[in-house]
Amino acid sequence: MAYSEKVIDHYENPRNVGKMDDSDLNVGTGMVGAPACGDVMRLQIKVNADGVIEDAKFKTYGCGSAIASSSLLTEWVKGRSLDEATAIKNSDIAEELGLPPVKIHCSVLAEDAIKAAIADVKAKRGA
Amino acid sequence: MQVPEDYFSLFSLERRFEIDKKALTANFRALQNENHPDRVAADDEQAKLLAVQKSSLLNDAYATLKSPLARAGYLLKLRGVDVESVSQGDLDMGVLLEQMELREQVAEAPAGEAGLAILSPIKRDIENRIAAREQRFVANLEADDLVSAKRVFHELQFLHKLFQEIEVSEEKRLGY
Repeated sequence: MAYSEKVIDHYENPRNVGKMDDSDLNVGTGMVGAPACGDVMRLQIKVNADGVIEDAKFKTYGCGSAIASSSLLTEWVKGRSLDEATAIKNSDIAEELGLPPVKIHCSVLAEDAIKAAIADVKAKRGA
Repeated sequence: MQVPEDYFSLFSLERRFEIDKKALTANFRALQNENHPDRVAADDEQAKLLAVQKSSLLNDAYATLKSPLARAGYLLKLRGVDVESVSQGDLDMGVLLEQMELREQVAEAPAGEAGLAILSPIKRDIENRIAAREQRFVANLEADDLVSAKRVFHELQFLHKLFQEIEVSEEKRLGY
């Protein structure tokens, strides 16, 4: 299966790889996985006082599509409010990256990860 | 050969995770022999087709029961558990952290043959984790706790997948 140019770009030059301090109350962490492919994804967001995501980091062990989906998502969520970030759908990611049907589940994983990160930071901030 | 109720009864085995592997292989070979398509008259197309179908069923059944992971998944399927569909709620946070840590260790192994000394103990570690999970899986099934059994099955999927990836990486390092 051939990857799209966008997937290859994110795979070769992943954006925002890293880790943030999970004990920070403004940092939300989403950990998700796909047992059958063995993929694991950690997506973190840092939210400022205005409720805007000012930074995002990820670490994904998995195929090119899973890495690209999470890399793209960290770019997209920066500068968005939590509600705006919640509105991002896996289909938006799949479309942007040109994922084939067999790789749609990778974009679903990324959506699950950002939703989990948002829920985590909301719970921490008591919002 | 009658159409079996399930793969276990096909090979005259009890429907449980721990099986007699020697009996499995011996019974498989015997049935395979008995049903070999070449044993059917060359001009009997109907019988030939049937023999091919039976042979294919036998191979699927054998492959499923031989692999501990596939066998575990099959046992859950027989109990009506859908192991194909996974939601994040089916996964324990601990297993995701475990996977992250193990994969970080694997990623730290230096390139080439130098990494083999790092990968070898990680593999042993994963084998131990698999063995412990299998015991829990058996206990969960015995207690009819299918929710926990499904969760442990997914943990086993992660561990087996990582183990396979390490083996591929080892082979590459050795230039196979």
